[in-house]
Amino acid sequence: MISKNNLKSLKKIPKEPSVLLLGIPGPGLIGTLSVSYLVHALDMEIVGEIENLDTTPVVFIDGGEIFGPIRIYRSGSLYAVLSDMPIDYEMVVSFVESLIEFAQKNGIDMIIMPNGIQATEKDPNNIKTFGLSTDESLESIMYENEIPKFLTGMIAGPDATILSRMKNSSIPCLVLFTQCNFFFPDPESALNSIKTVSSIIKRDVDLTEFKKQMNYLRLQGRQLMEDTLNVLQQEKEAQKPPQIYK
Amino acid sequence: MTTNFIPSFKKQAGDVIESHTKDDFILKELVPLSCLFERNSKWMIEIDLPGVDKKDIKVTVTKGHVVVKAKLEESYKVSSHGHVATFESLKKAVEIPPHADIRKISAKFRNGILVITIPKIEFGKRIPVR
Repeated sequence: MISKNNLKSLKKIPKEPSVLLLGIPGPGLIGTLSVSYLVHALDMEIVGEIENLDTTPVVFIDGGEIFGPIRIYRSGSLYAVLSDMPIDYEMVVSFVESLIEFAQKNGIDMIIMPNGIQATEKDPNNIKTFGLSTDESLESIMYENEIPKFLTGMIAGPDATILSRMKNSSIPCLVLFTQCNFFFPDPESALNSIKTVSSIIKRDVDLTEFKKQMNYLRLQGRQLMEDTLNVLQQEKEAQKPPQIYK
Repeated sequence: MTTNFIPSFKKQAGDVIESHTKDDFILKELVPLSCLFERNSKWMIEIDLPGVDKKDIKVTVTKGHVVVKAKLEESYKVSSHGHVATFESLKKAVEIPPHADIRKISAKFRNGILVITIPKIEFGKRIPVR
């Protein structure tokens, strides 16, 4: 006689939340540098791109395939959207709408956007990251990861558009503002941002390679930084960033 | 400087940086980023000089310009369309802003950033307040 198995009070296995990392060029190139390294270190694979046929000024050819400047990567439940060009006013609305649409279709539970914030006197031994969430549900993540809340200040430019659109969407978004040099690529601050993100997503990230390449990244990111500042300068006339010499 | 991580970043950002590397190729030296700030009674020029030792920085004032030249501790390699170019130094000439007192220029190097401070010449006639 075969005994019958009974399932008793089986607890629901918690689902690992789907997280999307958003890396776009901004102050100190924090978003680009940190998400770019996370994509590399976590061995994420390219799965798509966000295409804007009207404004795409450049394409990338890799292994005979054509890719746009805004690509989507994936590793398990972790996604990343990485842009190699600054998102200007002309394209920010369609960009964020595509991003929200992608997140909704793919069951993304949360978007994390590493970003930079100007620090007039940055202490390299005490670089701070502040969090700003579009939804109360993410405040516990900030608390668990000891991320102080961004309490007062002003956000202008495309980031403001992204934040306001996210706030009115169903996808919670956490923006991480790491103190940085606003005008130069700042891998030192990006390193802090990577640590914060890896702690939130609970993945170990080996930073050895990044640390070795900091000077290289500063040199390599010059043009992207200049393009980004030009975009920010156009949009933030009131703040008057300094003149950039050619 | 060599790297394993950079190819993935370069593959993503390489073409975007092309216009800056064009300047590098034309001048045969890397052109660093710089910013000019106006702070009350002085001008401040910040120049990003990664991978440089303080002793290898040369700052000279020529007619109307501050010229900064710095030797890289490790050479910087750029590959473009199958060609590899190696750069050993950075160089930038920055126009001196107006009303600058060039006799009092000073420079400080910290965390890979050179800060050149140029006080402004004080103008005008003092008006006594009665």
